[in-house]
Amino acid sequence: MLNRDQLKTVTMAVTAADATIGSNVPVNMRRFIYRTKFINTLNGDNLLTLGKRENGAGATTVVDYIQAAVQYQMEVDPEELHDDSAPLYVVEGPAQNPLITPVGASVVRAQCSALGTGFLTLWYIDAPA
Amino acid sequence: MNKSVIVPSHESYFLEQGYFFALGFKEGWMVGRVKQKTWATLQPWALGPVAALGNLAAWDEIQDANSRHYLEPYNPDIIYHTFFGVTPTQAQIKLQYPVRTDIGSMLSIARTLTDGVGIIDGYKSPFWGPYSEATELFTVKDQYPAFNIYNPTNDAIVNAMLNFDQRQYTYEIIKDRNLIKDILVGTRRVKKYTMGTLPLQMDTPGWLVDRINKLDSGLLKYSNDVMAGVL
Repeated sequence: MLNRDQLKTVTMAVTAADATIGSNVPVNMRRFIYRTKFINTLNGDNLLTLGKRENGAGATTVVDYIQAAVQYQMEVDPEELHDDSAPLYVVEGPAQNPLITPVGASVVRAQCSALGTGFLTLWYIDAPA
Repeated sequence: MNKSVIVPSHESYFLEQGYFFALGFKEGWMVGRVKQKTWATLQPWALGPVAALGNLAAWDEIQDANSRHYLEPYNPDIIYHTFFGVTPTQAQIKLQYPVRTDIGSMLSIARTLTDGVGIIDGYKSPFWGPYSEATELFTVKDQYPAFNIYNPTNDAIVNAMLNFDQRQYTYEIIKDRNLIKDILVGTRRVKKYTMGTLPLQMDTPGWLVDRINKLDSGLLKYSNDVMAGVL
């Protein structure tokens, strides 16, 4: 269940190059993403690709797409967060115990369509479950 | 419905100082009284990734790099009382206690990891509790459990984790035979815990036999006779 006082935010500029958004997901935790906001700064339509790389994966797995038709269009999902809101996406951190060494970092990734730019904000909680 | 709405917390199962308890081994019951109590946690314990429709290659004895078992008391004067929860919810935990002895089977044949028998998943025992009574473990020095997981889904589990909540007790062994009888079959409300599976597989550790025999060499047999209705 969503605990509002645990929510963190990260805001980053997104370009046409696939890049990491925010910090690494802590070991033995999951990043529960509860809310997204995308502002399109491109003078034209722009498609944001949201992705993830878990356990040091070298390639991005696409999680979702966010479309903006015109410049400065802002897409927020959901409009409001409630105590029983469910996470939109989950990115899993690597496993670690005295006999298991993390194989690599887990991160959120994002990129805009060709020549596109924008700003992405995520509201998330890092927790084991 | 959220399990926490309909099930009392596992914390109500922990013992208090002064409570009597009895641990059932193959040779008989060790009857004791809690002297001191403290708490401990292990959160989370990563069992690691599990492939779709797969399981762990080896049973996890919850130990550090020097083979020290977290769930085995490091001192014979201490007893561990532990419950645990599971995440992700679909991960099916299989338990051996003592090691190489399956708990929770319904058949006499050796179970497989995929047969759905004797599983504890996150529905039954959620990671944040309340934990199922089926996860209750009393452990004494030289005895510890082992865990495995079956992933019943068609998607890989990135990291299955357990959350252990523990109370640690120091104890006094009861040698008064009338009190033992009252504790085992009387009206006194006492925590009784069968160590391992049925029929009883777990031998009384040698150090514990020595301690009991120092008090009264017939106590273990006496406790079995009481339970059998002979006395």
